[in-house]
Amino acid sequence: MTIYLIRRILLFVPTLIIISWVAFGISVSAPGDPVENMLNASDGGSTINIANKQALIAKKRHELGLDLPLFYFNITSVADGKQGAASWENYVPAIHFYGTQNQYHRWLSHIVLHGDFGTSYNTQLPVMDAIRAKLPLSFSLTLLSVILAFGISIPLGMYAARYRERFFDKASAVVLFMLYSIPNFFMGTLLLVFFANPQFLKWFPESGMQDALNFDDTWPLWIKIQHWAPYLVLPLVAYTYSSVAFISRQMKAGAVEVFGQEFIKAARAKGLSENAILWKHVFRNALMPIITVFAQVFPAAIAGSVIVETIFALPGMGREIYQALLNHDYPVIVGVFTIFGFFTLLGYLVSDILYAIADPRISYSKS
Amino acid sequence: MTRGKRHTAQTWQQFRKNKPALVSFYLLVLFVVIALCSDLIANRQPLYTKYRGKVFYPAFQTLFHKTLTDSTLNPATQKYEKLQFDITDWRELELEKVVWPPIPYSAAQHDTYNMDYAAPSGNHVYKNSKGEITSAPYIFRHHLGTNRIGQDVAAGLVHGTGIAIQVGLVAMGIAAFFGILIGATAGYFGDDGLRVNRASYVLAFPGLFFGYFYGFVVRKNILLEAFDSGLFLGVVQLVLSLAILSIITIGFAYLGRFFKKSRKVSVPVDIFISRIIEIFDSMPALLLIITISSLFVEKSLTMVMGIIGFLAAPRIARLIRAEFLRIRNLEYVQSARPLGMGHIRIIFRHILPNALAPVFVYMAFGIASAIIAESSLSFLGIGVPPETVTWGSLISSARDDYNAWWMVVFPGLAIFITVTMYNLIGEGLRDALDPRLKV
Repeated sequence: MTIYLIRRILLFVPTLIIISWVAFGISVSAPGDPVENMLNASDGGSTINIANKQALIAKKRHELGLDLPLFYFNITSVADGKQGAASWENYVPAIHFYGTQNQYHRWLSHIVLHGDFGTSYNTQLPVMDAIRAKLPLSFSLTLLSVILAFGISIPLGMYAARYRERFFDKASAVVLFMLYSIPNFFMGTLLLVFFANPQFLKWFPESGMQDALNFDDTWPLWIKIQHWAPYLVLPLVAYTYSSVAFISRQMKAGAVEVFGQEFIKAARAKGLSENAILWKHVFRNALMPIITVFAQVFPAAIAGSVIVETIFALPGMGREIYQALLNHDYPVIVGVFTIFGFFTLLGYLVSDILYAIADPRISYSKS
Repeated sequence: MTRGKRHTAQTWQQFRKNKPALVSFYLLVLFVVIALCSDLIANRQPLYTKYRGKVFYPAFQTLFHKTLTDSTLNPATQKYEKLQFDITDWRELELEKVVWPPIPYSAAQHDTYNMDYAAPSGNHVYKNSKGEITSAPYIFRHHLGTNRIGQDVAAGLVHGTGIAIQVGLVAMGIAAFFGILIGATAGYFGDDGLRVNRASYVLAFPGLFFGYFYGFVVRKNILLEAFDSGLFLGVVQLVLSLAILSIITIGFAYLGRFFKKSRKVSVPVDIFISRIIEIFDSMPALLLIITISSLFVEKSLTMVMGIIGFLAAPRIARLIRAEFLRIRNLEYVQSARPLGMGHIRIIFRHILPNALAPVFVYMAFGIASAIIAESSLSFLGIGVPPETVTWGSLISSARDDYNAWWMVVFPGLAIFITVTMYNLIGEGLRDALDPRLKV
């Protein structure tokens, strides 16, 4: 068990490092020069004369550490950077070590030590401030959707297993299978067209989080929640339905397996009611595989947030990265990607550990 | 060989018993036919027409030559007039005989008379041969409506069919190619299957270094130029670089054979590859696709398919690895080595055919999710070029006006049906190929 946990945590580290490489790689290879992007955004690129601009750029590059080598080491040819090198020197390798004075180290330590992802090209504000402002909404939506999904699909799966091959089971199987095949951007747009549209049914407000005219920041929290609730109904549906379909299928499969076992027969023989068997015996044993499902639901919810928040114009992280993509605001893209990636990996880690605790066979079989 | 045929026939028998899967399979065949004939089903040019005594087959004639030009004699002026097929509006000509395709509009065509979301049941107009703008007859109606710039939704759906099918197949093809290669290596050799001299083992590391140097550092500019001039050329050069890397590495390892006294050690192939698979498997895929596609200034469908494929490869590698680990211990494989067969032959001729079943099942489901991923990207307007009409981009154009329900419902249904179809085929395949369910 301990060995499994250690191995699992050890795996977390290289994955995180690779995520950081991808993020760093994107920030380095982003089209356009970061300093020029920044200067152009700040003053339209016109007021400073050329000579001053060159000096300013050089100064800014040094401040941001862009004049440093990219990584801890680099493999080049001997001829690299040498005036008048002979042609054979192009084919002789040379390794350079730079120590910690490099861009990657600087970039990573700024994130880890100061939570500093740089400044947005667009707003000129620190990326971290934007993330801090948008994270709570995305996080609570994801959490709410996961809780809702489990809350709906566990009873659904259990009853489908209990009434196996009967009408409830067959009907729910077909409906859930169809729900599973609907992409969430289609579902989201469909909900908007039919339930937030004066031409059809205007049950819910069409977009955003709050009514700009009526909303008052001094309201107590529960009134705020009351105000937000109608805005969040459709996004939550669009967020949750496919996980419901997925989890309840898993739940049913698990429960059906438990139903077939000997101790259920014993429970029936001793005269336990069918409901007592369902919730006391089957439920507990069928719950275990559901824990791993958490690992698959969580990243899906994060990815889904990009689409759902964009469709419903919710000011969260998903919409933030989408807007940044349209504006080519690379510091924001890299920042949101890194944070999202980190949480996804954390989700996998936590659910794997939970699963290993719930089902000890896992940690033994893998060694 | 006969045994293989019998197995296929048996699987097909099993598959046929699953009615939803069978219906889905026939539906898929129909979709492929639609995709192949899309230019004959939805086209602004007639299939057959007679104009000024001359017979044309414009829709067929422009299949291979887009800007085909012909001329006819104008009886009024006695002059020859040029007809460039694809930009001629055939509706405005006085045709003697004409057979229109079922949908007389092309996907990219802007019908300027029915712009701004013409509803399916709304008032549609067209310009007739006398130059009057009148109410459109049944054949020229937009039965599924139009979008803001007057593109026909039905034509877009037909055109998008090919793209959806292509995305699924190409992405999963890439995934299967890399997944099988990586998974087979890990599963076949395991941690004890590849025994080499310690000298070879040690020498492989400098080999890797020099391979990287000559494959990637020396060829850096060649690679960059190739990727700039096109994705295909870039991939060719990349494969060439990888080939140089592996040849140099293997060459160095080969030198180890001359150290006769060196002890034999096992190379932990499986541990190494499995860790890499696990790392890439736990990456947030859709987020990665979105982020990577932001780097490409020039959008292309090929790139989207490539990224989706690469990110699905670890799943397939994992399945293949598990099958190989099981099969390599079976007697027929164990006895193949002493008979003098090479590793490559055993892997591809003897193990692979028996290890493919779970891959086929995964591919059916994988195609479904590749189609969802691509349409999500098109919906967001990231990834595919703006002028390409796909199912996702059709839905996305409804975001300007939510009253245009037809822009959402019809393309959405198309995606939904295709995805369900592949999911059902996947379930059918799983039931047919899973030996536990066989009697």
